[in-house]
Amino acid sequence: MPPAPSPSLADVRAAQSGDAEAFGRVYRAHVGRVHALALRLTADRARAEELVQDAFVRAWEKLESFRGESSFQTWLHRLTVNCFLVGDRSRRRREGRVEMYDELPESPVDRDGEGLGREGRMDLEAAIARLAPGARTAFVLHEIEGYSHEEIAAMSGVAAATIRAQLFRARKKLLEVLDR
Amino acid sequence: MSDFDELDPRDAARLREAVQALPREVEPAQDLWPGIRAEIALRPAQGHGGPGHGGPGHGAVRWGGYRWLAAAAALVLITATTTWTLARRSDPAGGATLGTEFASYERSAADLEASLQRHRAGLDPNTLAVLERTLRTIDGAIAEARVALAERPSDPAIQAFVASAYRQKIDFLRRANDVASAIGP
Repeated sequence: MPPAPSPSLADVRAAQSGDAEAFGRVYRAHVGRVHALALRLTADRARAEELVQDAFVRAWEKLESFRGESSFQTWLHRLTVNCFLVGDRSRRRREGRVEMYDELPESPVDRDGEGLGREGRMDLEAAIARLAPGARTAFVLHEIEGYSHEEIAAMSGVAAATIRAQLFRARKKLLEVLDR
Repeated sequence: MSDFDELDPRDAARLREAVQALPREVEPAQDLWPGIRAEIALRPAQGHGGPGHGGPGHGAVRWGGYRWLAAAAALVLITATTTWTLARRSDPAGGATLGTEFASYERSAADLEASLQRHRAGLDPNTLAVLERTLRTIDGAIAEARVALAERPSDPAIQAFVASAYRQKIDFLRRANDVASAIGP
């Protein structure tokens, strides 16, 4: 895959005027970061690709609302997170699950050694993927994307105290993995 | 922004270091742009033009975004089924022969299929598979309804269903042509 071109505000502005080719350049410039975020949130390659597609289509629809008050990347990442949270809520409703931010067990694979690297040490990326969904979401948004507890709480509709508890569990779990 | 307050400082530093070492970018395994391009061609964006506003001629030769075809297929089936149900329920009087109208539908559909055929080279295999499956489904519904109509040619419910299925097929083909011509070679 060719290297991504530099993101250009001019391309964003052109896309806001309906230039799909300019939006294609915006996509190329940002897809790597958006996909990294999507992979960490979903822990599933197919869902991550679907989330990336949804996020960029949504971005196209909402481009006019980008005023340049934050960086375009910040705007796009927030939109991606919202797409994830909305989609995840719908998915949980369909599946009849309501406990995302509570007690879902971690995948057992992190106890039997699957996913460990050559040196017997699971890399952090794989360990994050194996966190319970709520803990994973909280950790990715707070520790990697830099959202505050309150921002995550507002976006997800979950109490900030719950987010903090999820973060605590995630950190402990990840440290266990790093100690192996 | 990070707060590792409740952790041992050395643990916090280790975890922070590991987080900072994560790659900031991970390219998807496949190019997702063709699919996105196909979808935005169908969607008006706030403040700019309607579907296809971006214009044709960008040279895309693959078309990965075929989810809209599945959605269109579902819409076709739902609409046709609803029409069938309503028609059966209302069972309107009448029963005029619709042969001429059906022949007109078939000519329109044939023209649109021929047009779509010219864009085949620009469509990816997944898209073609969905497209052909959808058309087979619609054609199957039309064929079954035509058999029923042959048995009961004056039944207005069956007439309405056949006409509806033809209209759905034409609508589907028109939309497929719009997208294919917007993004195709």
